[in-house]
Order: sequence, then structure tokens, then C-alpha cells
Amino acid sequence: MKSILALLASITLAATLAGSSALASDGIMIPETSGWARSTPPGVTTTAIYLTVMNHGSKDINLLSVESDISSKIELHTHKHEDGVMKMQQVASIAIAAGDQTELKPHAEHIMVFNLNRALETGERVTVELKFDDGKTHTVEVPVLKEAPDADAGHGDHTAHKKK
Amino acid sequence: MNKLSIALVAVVALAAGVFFGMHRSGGPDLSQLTGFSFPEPEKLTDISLIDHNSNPLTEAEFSGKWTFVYVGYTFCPDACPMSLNTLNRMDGLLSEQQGAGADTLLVSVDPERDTPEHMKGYVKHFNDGFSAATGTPEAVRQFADQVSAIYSVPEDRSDPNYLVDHSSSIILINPDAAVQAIFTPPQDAETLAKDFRLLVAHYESR
Repeated sequence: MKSILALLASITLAATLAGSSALASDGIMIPETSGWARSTPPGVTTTAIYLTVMNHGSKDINLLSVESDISSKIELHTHKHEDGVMKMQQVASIAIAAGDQTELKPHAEHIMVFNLNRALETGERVTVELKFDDGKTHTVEVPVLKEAPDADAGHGDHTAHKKK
Repeated sequence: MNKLSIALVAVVALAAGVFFGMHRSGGPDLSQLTGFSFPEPEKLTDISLIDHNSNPLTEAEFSGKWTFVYVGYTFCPDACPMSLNTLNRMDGLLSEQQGAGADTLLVSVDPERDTPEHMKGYVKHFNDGFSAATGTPEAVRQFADQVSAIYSVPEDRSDPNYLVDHSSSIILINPDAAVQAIFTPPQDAETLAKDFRLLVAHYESR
């Protein structure tokens, strides 16, 4: 009995340590509530994923790539408003400065998904793996939404009563 | 005269100025607009597009009603869905208010990938009442030029995932089928609805 208790205690301690060390040594944190993927209209094979990446560490960290089972062609993109046009451009990495955060959002830096292997329906969830240049990979699950959770906040969804 | 009465006189003078200023121009004060309104809207001419039901769409389509036009393409994963969602919310706001409503039309600058059938499914995802149109590259360019929309389809389209740079502006066509106003991004539903009411009042006061 004593040995079982000791075992349980050590497991609990190990789990606690693992959890806290992940927070302490690992600068990157991705609040799950910040993320979402855009649902796809019929026949559309592209989408974008948005989320906020926080860097609690003391070194700048770069997001290098993103993987997910929804597509094998996922890129990091940014939007440039140049000469009166919106230009979507691939970027090699997205920087998250030490002690700061980077918001991947519409009309700015975002995760661009090509060649979707299935339609994304509002209400489902998508798992994405983000690889950073500190050698770590973070896995997050984001909801599929029709538009940003804070889009014109307070005015609700006017789609419902338009739809027959 | 003490400070309070000076302030009162100033306020009254300002209010009178605004009041008479408004009436002299015969309509609402368009300086409150966030979009750009053309002082002399130009009529659309020689429009030869194909709508989402594969029917011809000419300038006649725009007569006698207000139409918001968005020039984009369905492959566009970020800017276009943003603007179409905004137009959907604005449509909801307008339908809750007294006064004119407006149609919404997506004009695709990517006819190679955007077939009428595909566009139909696309716009209905945002709002059942929305329409879409495209045409030959020349017909699309001719339309886009008239509504001051800028875009550039890459010469090399060997990669099926090519992207199209575009101005992502929303254009308002008045009931004379003339280009009334342009709203560049970022756009939000409330501001668009407010601007629309001002522009309708301005149009009706002429």
C-alpha cells in the first residue's frame, strides 16, 4: 500500500513538473480561444486559419510551418496593401518577439490552406501542428467558423433570418 | 458677456451654420462618409457579363435599384470572405431599417476557375439573396475599369493555386446604373449601412 501511494505521489509529481516545465522553459503559448478556421463555401478548396501566438520567453521565436490532416499544402502568408491592391504573399516564417504576441488574423499574417481534402463545416474542429524554430511543436484544436468570433461584435448573425 | 454666453453664442452659431449648410447643398452632409462618393456618378456602359445562372448581365441589371458590387474571386481565402460576410451583415442591418435596401453582386476577376455554377454555390454560402457574375477576361476588365477596381491575374497560371491581387473594394451602384461610391478595406457593416443611408438621402434630395 505504501509503495502504491509512493508511486501515485511520484506520478503526480512528475506530471506536475512536466506541466510546469512546459510553461517555464517553453516560451510559446497559444490560447485555444483565439483560434479559428474559416468554413468553406461549396466547391472551395482553400481556407485560412487564424490564432494568436504568445511568447512568454526571453528570446524571439519564429513560426516556421504548420501541418494538419486537412491538407498537405499549408503555408504562412501575409497581406500587403500595396498600390491599391491586396497582395497575399507567402512568407518563410512569422516572428513572435520575446515577451510579445503575434495575432494571425484576417487582412494580416495568417495560415493559408490550399488543396483542402475535405469541406470544412461550421461547428467542427480542426487540429493543427505549429512548428517553431526553438525546435518545439505545438498542437492546437481550433473551431471552424463562418467568420471571426469578434466580427462586428454585438450585432449577431444576420444570416439566420435571411436563409429560407 | 461672460464665458458661458460666449460659449452659447458659439454653439448656436455653429448649429445654425451646420443647419443652413446642409440645406444650402440640398441634402445630407456627405463629409461624414467614410467611403468615397463620386460628385458626378458615371453610368455603366457596354457591360457584357454572365451571371451565376449563365444568363447575360448588362448595365440594365443595375437600373432602378441600389447594388453593392464586390470585385474578387472565389479562390480567395481571406479578403473576399471577409468582405462578403460584412456585406451579409450590412444586408441584415438594412433589412431591419426603414428605407431602401440593396442587392449584392460578386464580380469574379478569375473566370478561368470561377464558372457560373461554382460562383452560385459560393455566394449563396454567404447570403441566399446574393448574386455573382463573371465574363471573358476582356469583359471583366472593362467592367472593373468602370468601377475603379484594380486587380492583376498572374500571366503564369500553371500552378492551379495561383492568387489574384485585387483592390478588395466595395462599390455602390445607384439606381441610374452609375457608380456612386467606393469603400476601400477595412470595411464594417455598421459604417457601410450608415454611409448607404446618407448616400440614398443625398441621391433622393437631388
